[in-house]
Amino acid sequence: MKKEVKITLRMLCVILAFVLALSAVGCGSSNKGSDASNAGAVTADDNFNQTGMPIVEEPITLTVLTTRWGNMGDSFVNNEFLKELEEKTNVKIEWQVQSLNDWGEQKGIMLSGGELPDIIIGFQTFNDADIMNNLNLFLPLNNLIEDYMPNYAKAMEEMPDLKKIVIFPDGNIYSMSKNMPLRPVSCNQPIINKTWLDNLNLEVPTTLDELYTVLKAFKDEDANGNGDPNDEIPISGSKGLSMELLNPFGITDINGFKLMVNDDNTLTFYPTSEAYKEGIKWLNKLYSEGIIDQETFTQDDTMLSAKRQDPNVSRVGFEYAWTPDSNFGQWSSEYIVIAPIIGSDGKQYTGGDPNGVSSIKRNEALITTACKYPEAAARWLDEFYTGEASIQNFWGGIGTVITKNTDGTYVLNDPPEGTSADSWYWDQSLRDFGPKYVSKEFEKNIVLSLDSGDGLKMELSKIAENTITTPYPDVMFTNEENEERPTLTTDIDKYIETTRARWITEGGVDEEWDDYINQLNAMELERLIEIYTDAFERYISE
Amino acid sequence: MLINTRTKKNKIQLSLADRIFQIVLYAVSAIVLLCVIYPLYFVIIASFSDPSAVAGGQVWLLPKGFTLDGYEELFRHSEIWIGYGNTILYTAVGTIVGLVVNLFAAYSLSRTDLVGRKFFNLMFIFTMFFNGGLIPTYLTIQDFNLYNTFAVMVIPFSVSVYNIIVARTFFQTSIPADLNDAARIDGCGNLYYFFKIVIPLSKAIIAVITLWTAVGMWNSYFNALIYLNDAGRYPLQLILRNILITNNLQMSFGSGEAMQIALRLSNLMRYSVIIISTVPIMCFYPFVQKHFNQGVMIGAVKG
Amino acid sequence: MKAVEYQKSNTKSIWLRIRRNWGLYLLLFPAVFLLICFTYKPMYGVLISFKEYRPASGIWGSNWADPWYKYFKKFFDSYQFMTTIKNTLTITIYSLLVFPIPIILALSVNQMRGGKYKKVFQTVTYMPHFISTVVMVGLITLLLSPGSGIFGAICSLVGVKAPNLMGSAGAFKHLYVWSDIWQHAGWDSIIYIAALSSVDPTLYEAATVDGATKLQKIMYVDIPMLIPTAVIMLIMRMGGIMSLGFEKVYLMQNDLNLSSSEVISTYVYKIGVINTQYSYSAAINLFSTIISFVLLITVNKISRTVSENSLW
Repeated sequence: MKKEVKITLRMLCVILAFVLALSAVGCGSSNKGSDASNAGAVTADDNFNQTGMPIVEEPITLTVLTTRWGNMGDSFVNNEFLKELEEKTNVKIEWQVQSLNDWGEQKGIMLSGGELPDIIIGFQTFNDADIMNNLNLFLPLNNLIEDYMPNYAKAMEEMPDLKKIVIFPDGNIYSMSKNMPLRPVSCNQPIINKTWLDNLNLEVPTTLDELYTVLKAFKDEDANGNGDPNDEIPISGSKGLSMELLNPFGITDINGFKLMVNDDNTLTFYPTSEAYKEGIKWLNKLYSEGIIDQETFTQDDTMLSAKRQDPNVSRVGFEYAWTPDSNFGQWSSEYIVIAPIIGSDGKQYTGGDPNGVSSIKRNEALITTACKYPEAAARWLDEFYTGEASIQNFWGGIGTVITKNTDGTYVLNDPPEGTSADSWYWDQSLRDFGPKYVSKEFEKNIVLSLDSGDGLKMELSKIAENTITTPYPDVMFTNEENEERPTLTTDIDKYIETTRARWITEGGVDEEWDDYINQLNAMELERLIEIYTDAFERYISE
Repeated sequence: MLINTRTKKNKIQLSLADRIFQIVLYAVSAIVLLCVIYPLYFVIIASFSDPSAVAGGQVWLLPKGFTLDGYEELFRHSEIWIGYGNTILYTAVGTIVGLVVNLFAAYSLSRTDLVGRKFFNLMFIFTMFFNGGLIPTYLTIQDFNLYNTFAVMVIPFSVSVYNIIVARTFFQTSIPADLNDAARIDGCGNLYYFFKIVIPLSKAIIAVITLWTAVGMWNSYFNALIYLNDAGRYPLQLILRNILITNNLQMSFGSGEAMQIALRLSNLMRYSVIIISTVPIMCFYPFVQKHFNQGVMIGAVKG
Repeated sequence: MKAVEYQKSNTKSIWLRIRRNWGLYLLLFPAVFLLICFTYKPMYGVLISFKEYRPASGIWGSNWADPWYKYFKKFFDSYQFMTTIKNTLTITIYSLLVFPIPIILALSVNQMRGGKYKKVFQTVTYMPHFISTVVMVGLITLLLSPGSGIFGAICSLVGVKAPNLMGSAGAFKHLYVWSDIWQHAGWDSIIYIAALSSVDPTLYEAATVDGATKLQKIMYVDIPMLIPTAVIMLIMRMGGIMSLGFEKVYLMQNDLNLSSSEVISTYVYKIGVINTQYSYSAAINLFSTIISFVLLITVNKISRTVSENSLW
């Protein structure tokens, strides 16, 4: 037996030595991206024109990477604007469109040694941490913007937030920002089934108590009129319950940071607030009376969608959503958007953003160090920052999706038969992704239809305009903060979600509250809040 | 082939214990069969049903809201046919490569008179646990200039230590040593012995390894995802995966209806995707099955 | 049946033996070559767990973690350490306990008289293996749904309020393991059916002559034939005790059952892929593989002394 052990150990040693020797010899692969040519140095290139069209005399090709959902495809590259742009500028584009399905894994590979494209588009492609941890792969853009991007520079002057959010901790700018045209200020709003209200002769609820009464009636009676009083589901969810239900308690959180900005610029972490406790108690009450779907926490999106769009009859009564069409399919016409529910403090609250929801974002465009023509790339990107370019990259090309009238206004055409407007826009343009700038002035020229799509949402949003709270802004964290945050949030968020699920389904929030707070503190919640506070103060002091 | 030497006398002597055994066996297996057949049946009828009805629990024994949309939508994506072609090619070549690489090594390791046997065994098993990780492996593939080639799909990852170990066990238990001695006396070397004697006697294990390797290749998508970037080379599973939206996606944007519609399409095609991607491989199985259902060792060793 | 021994003459020197068996080394060569090139060459990647890995700097350019065990310590100190390990082991050990089921299935199929029923049975039992995980979990959720599922329907027939099993932390391991069996037992039994096919039929004849019942034939002929394969499979599964595949667990997880369903692989996914903490996730993976490997060596040793079957 001893001899066996000896031999086995000896074998293992040999193998280990083997491995080490091999690694020392074999792995000399240098990182392709790091030996970059002098970034930003203005080469006196005869081919390149500093102003005017085309950008280059002899055509050059730039590779551009962007990411989209699984089946969205790359049809957008054919839109009129991009085609005209190629002709006008002489810059040929080789698009690399990646599916977001497995982008997480592919991202690491691309950064570590893969072929870097010249330009990267879309805020979903690389996030702050990706950029800051791999700074030597991305060109600082400060000089390029000054010298070659007049449109973008002007945009940053007209809308200072655009500049503010792209200043990285070391003071340089590494990515470009955008804003989207005609964005509503309200995010998700309360939507209720009007047909059910009419069937039961009920008024539209305005306060929490009224809402409760209505929901109870939905549950107990045959609200959808099919003869069965038991198939109505007043509130449902998938793998969790939306916290927008707590808007009447003063809790709003459109960016998911779990922080709310108070009037005096202090921050409140809502999962430890009294309002949250009250809200959870209310939800528990609803759950125990069967108002909230028993399967809320276990069913997936597919099952929820099936309930919302049940082929026989409408089954879900109340929800916070973007518009009725977004969720309810063939039953959308039964639903209406109502005013924000008045909470126990007599006030109304809605999650939203005074600048327009998800309008201003950074990391929409980056130029990598693999790019041999950074000046041309910068000039090419600058073309995106005009009003006309931006609307074509948000809805679709002029000629297909947009019609430009002689009076200078722009109108959206109807989508082809059988296609929804939103899907059509995604097919025809980069939509939410990529650099854009639409000034307030230019926005006035865009005429949207009020009964559907983005125009409809603008209308619906008005009812909640005055109740918008200030969201926690899109701050820039430092490298150290970005390393600490994920571990803290993975554990803390999960703990909050699991206790919430338990309290809503079983109750017990009062009894367990103190332990809950203690546990969160043990998980270093204070440190997390400190990080957020520091980042916030840096942001507002600029 | 099984030589039935049962005499009439033996047949009559089927004892009571055996009869009870038979009855219990068939009864229990029938229950198992019903339990197992249901999910299969469900997938088939779901692929012809309205996805809302399916997810709403309204589909049980018959399709509801009969529709061919799932298949129609799927076949709109003409790149599926390219995927089929690629997968068939990768599977065919990959299976042959896999058999060569793994079975040969398995036989070699099954011989106790192999010097360094322990070393090699450990060397293989070590890799079942310790792995450099995705990024270093990717860099290695690049170093060998295999990125985006046909070869990367069938050669680098063809070693399956699991298959080697199972096959090795087979060789060890089913091929008697005396056979080797007899062959050696007759003057045949190791290679001749392996190809002319061992292989014909190992139909069962060859069938199993073929099946495992082929199915593995057929279902694989991850290597293609990482090491190929030419859509014309993508295997079927990767193309299908790109058509559907995987549930792992963090859907934090796209608040419009496009998202809902994309989800609906994805749900619509979920079941038809399974059908069209697995029917071919299931047709392959019976050919392999007959090789490991019959006994093979008759009369090879006497005395 | 134990592994056969080939003639090892002690008088011949080792080199002569190697020379004589050159054919065997040739057979071994392709696999070894490929392993060296594509698995051993990138092996330096394990260093990621000891460094502050940044993809752009590469492994050699990234700084060493300070201290070198930083990420290991992070995992040990984390709130999730005990939970994830406990949950992972619970499920894998439970899976090991139901390990004999594919064997029983193979023995049963072997006992069936050849013909239509046997063919159908065999075919149907292996087919669920091909259903994708996503669809399988969707199906399970649907079937167990108290409102829309068969389970709910049966419960209301009996007059009992259907519990939401998918939301129960206690039920999680049962659901996971038994649905795995449901889906994969048929496929897993193939290797045993193949093993049984090489039983010398004269052994059956001899047993019948001796008056053995079917059950006894199974005990004394079939099972000994399967033992080497079964033991090897068992040992290999023990080696995989810390590595529970992530996709199915991730899909079955929800806030109500998370206390039982957060396993190592899902935690690593949330940290590593979603939050791109390469070094941390690599450290956790390395830690669990070391544990698995040590366990494997132990189990292998035990098996070698007890039953003469072992991995090396």
